[in-house]
Amino acid sequence: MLDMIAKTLYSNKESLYFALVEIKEKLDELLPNFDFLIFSFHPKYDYHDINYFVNKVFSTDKWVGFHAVDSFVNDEIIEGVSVLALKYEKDASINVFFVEDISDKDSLEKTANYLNSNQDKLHIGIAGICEEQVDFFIENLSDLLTYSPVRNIVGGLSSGYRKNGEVLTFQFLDKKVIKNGFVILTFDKVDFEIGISLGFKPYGITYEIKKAEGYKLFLVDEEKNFSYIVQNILKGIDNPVVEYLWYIPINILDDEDGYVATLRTIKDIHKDYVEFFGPVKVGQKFKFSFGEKNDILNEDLETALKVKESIRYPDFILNFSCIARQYVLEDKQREENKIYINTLNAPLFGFFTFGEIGPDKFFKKLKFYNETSLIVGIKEK
Amino acid sequence: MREEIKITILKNLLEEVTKKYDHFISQRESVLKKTYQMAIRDSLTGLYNRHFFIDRLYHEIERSIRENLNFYIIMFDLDNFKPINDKHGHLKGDETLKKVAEILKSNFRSYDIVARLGGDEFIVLASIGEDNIQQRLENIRHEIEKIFPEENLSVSYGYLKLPNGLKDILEKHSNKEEIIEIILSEVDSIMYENKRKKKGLI
Repeated sequence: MLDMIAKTLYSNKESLYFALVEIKEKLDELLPNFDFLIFSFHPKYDYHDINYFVNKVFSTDKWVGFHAVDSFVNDEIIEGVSVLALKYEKDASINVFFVEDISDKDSLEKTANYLNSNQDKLHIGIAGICEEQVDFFIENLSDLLTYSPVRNIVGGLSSGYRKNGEVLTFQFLDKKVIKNGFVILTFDKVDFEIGISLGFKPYGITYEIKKAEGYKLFLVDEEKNFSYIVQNILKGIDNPVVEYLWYIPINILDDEDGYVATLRTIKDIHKDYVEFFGPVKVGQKFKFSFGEKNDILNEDLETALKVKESIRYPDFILNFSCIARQYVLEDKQREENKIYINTLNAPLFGFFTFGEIGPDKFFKKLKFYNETSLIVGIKEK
Repeated sequence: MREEIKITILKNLLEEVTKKYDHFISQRESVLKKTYQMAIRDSLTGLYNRHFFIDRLYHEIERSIRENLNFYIIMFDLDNFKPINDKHGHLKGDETLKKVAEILKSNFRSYDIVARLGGDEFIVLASIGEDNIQQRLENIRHEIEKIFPEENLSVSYGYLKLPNGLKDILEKHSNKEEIIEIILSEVDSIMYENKRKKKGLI
């Protein structure tokens, strides 16, 4: 039985060139005739050099890359360059669709048309922060999808940091650097199954958002300042930092069915509002949650088992996992990946994200997640 | 270090959640109280309604038998109320009923049950000494007559002391509704008898 061959490699060398050369030498041994390469680059490497050196070392245009502060190669966490090399054994293929700037007026329609005309294929989307507009883009895109269920789109936001006035969450293609857009890798002739692991248990009764704007939440319930509530949760802690609140992301409940639809992680606390890593809206209802590493890992296992039940023997696994989630997992960061690879028995390629993209529980719409781990098991047909 | 921070956050989170629960419960309690009051009160006069009175009457009967206590059921029916409504309008009529209600309330203790049965009929379930009752009811009549003297507004009343004679009723009937009906019908007859006497019809 011939399946797609997937090899995951990495290098932690400080020089981009030598990191790529190290990977190429390993690849020449393991999979010299690869069909496609997917790279993750730590933002410490000068992004101006990436296209040049990839082309120089690998002599191919069949590749994409993106920024991630950490990537996962199986159960290793890499702060360098990592790559997933794929070789098709049957009729599988990867097409690359990209939008250079999501603020272009036809970008939404163009993307919707592309997805609607490829609804039987798997789409892996990797986007930049896009000035915090990508989640609204996803929401609008979801409304333009003409098919249901939507269970073939998954992805995440590149993770990076601000340097010289730019937020380094870029995507890379042959001869292109995408700074304010996204890349979609479309896999054809593959079987796949998406799994979404939240893992944060909701606590208490529901709050209702009364005043919100974009990523900012001002008031809840009877005009109560949400910032005050959050500050109270940090009381008694010396020198509190916002990361401590990553243990208690809010669980936004689905408007219609009331289940936990998505998590929102707190980014910053101001006097009159709290800022999240994703949008919040007036009328939305939410509960606080608390993250305990064993709860998270238990849900990871359940998620992996569900994916396995559906796909059985994937050729490889892609994983998008939020940075805040990794913070909460503390010393168990690698356990999450171990669970996935041990359950699904396949190589894993993943990375830290600033937000995750995937279907909702009932595959009605696309959602923008925080503090979530998404996996997709892929197998050539 | 992280464990301590997590415990503090969890403690604070639980405190916040508890606060929210308390707030939620007190809100629910206040809504329930309001709903309960609406269910047991007459909306015009604020007195208890017929439904509540009947419910309490049955409990009082049971208690009086158990503890060998006496109590009174007193029924009031206004005389010459209709002309007030007809000549002066329903607003004046409503105002009169409210004043009657105030007089009744002020002449009984807070734990006595003063209810409006409907229209211009009122009923009271009271624990008062036998010596006092006639004088107290006469005082009430005088007070009510002062509300609308130009239309000769007055009140007729009849009362029944329980559980006198109740044993016979309870021996003959076991159904709660039947017992209540018999007692109310009995006190109603006494009140109408008094009304007829008062109007010089007998």
